[in-house]
Amino acid sequence: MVKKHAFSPGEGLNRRAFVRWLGAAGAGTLLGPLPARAGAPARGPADQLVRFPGKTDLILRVDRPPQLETPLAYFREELTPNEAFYVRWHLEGIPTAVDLNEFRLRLGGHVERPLTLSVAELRRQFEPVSLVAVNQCSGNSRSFFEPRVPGGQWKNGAMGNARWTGVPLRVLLDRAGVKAGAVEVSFGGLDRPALAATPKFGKALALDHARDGEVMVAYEMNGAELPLLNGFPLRLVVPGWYATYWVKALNEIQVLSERFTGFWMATAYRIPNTADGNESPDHPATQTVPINRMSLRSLFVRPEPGERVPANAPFELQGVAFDGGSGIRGVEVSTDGGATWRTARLDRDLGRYSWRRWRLTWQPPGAGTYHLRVRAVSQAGQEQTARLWNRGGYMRNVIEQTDVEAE
Amino acid sequence: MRPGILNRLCAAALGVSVLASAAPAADTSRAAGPHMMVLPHFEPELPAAPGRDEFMMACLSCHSARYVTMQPLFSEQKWAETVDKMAKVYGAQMDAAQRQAIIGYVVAFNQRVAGLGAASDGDDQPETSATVPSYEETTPALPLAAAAPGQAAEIQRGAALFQNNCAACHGPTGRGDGWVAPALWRQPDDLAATRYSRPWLARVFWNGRRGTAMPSWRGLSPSDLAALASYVQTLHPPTTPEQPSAASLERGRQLFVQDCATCHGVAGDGLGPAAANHFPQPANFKLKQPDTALILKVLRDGIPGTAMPSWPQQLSAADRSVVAGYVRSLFDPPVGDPTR
Repeated sequence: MVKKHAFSPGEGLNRRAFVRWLGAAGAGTLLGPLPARAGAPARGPADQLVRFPGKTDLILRVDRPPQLETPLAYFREELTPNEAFYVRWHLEGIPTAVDLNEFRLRLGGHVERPLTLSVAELRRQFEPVSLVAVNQCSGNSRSFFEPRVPGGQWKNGAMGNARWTGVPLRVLLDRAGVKAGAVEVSFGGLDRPALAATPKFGKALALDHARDGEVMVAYEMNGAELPLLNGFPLRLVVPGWYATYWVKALNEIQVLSERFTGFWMATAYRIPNTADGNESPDHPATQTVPINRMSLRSLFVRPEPGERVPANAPFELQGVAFDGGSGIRGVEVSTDGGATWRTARLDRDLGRYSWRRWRLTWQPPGAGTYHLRVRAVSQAGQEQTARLWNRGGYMRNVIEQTDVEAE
Repeated sequence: MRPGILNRLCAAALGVSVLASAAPAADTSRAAGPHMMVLPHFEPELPAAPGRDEFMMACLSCHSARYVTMQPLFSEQKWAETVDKMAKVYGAQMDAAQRQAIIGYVVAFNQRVAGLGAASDGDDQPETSATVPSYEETTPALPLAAAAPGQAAEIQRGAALFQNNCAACHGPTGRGDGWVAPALWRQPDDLAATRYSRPWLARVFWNGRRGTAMPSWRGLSPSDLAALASYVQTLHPPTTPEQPSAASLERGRQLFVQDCATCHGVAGDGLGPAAANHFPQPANFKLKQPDTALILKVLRDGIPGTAMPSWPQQLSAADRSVVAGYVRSLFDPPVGDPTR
């Protein structure tokens, strides 16, 4: 059963209208075409909301294997509800049934004592740790690339912020006893391809990264078990790194004495070996590397695309900002197309891997169109760029722009 | 605090400590049994255009056509790169002619969907025209030589090919219960519940089954396909042929002509006047013979995701049994087929 998500009490803002909107747009309903942002092509089919098991109404990108996007309004909260969290699988054979009495996580390879653990054993035998972290698809916002690139045509909703609870991978590796000479750790899940020729999904991390104490085998998301569509019963959590590494329905961990050469590292999810993953459509980079740490981003959550605001009355601009783990130093917003910038207020800090919500009260000084921009600076001093393009449609992190009508 | 609550709190605390020390085999603190879900499907309509059959056969095994409908307008060259990536990297099954047809189709499909203006009515379901020649009719199947008697080695080779190529959907023993099956829109056949003739297998291996996840397997050599057919034919256990009375067969024929022939054809060859618009196409009972139990199940439940309805409202249990006997009597594989 789908649990209807209740908004937190402090978030009264437009709640009724939003719930009405959710109720009106039942599964299979076609919404009218949502207005695209300024600069984005306004062509193509309208967004459609659908309901999958354990999920509330999400934007349908692909039904098989599922790619479902979180509506922007859910990012008005610190943590993204499990039932609203986006969904993305690669292979047709996704796990549709998991029996905890039979499920086992296996940790083997270049170790002294291979481990076989049930979820109950993971919960009972190890001290749980929790951490709030953004999980963002490598291709989030791909539909805003220009020129456009093939792939999942996400808007900004292939991301979410959640509190993950589980066991640090380092603790499991230590119990298994990593042998000298190990270099990487690979991860596999329950999902399988339909065709034998299709490479099974798998990712790898350098041994030092896998043992950093923050990479986690999570069995809870926001205090509840993970939805099947988000990787129940176990998911690898790689804080600060793109979600392709957060292997879902994790059941296999292998310590390797050689570099991992699987397709999903060696061929797929590669980015140009350039600063910020940028390349030119006319002169694509010749060297690529596996995608890795998330770039600094800041996004508008309000106004939503096409939302109208009252002129000569206060309106609270809202959004989120995050990076790959240094944390957010500050967020600036422009309401005049970048001519002047004001500093936004930051909500409380939930940790350096969490996103930071920001707000800025703004009073449009008259009716008309306003060109809004937002940019962030990270604790590491990183700034956002004006332009980014690569052939995979990955790592979008440009200074966001949106137009809003005041009336 | 009321005593009752206190007692319950104590019991809960005790429960926790017992759980921690006794280390039960299963996680009793939560639902430890199976977690399951049934996936919904929102597969888009496929506009009628040249190459639709090839697209259905090669692409829909692994993903919904929404992978195409969600894309913006791309050039033919970009689509050619994408199709080639699907074949080379992900193993999509297509020969050179099929590849060309698929590229042509996705270009037209993409133009049709992504070319919609924002001011359109927002309908992303292109209508389907009725007049597309059946791919099976225009593309003959590769004839598959039957295994010579006693060729256990060929069957063994077919079994290995089956495990490698077919078991993900059809299951390790061909019962239609492979790991991937629950995610599929239309369920794979239980290969032990139907007797398949060689020409039927040849047609399906060569052309796939439009409207299902079954791709065409032209990437396998003719001898591999023959071995695969030999193995698949062993999956159906031998049965004693039943002998319905002449009266029963005649009653069954009348019901079949009245209720089934529009789609399945008067002869039961799956080529009824309404057959052309159905994907997958209606079963051809001359070339495959479902077990009585399967026919009765289908008559009772229909086949979800296809045009086959359920019949209990129209046909009594006795009539359904008579229809099943008649349907089985239609099986007429060519002379020399091992299923004959």
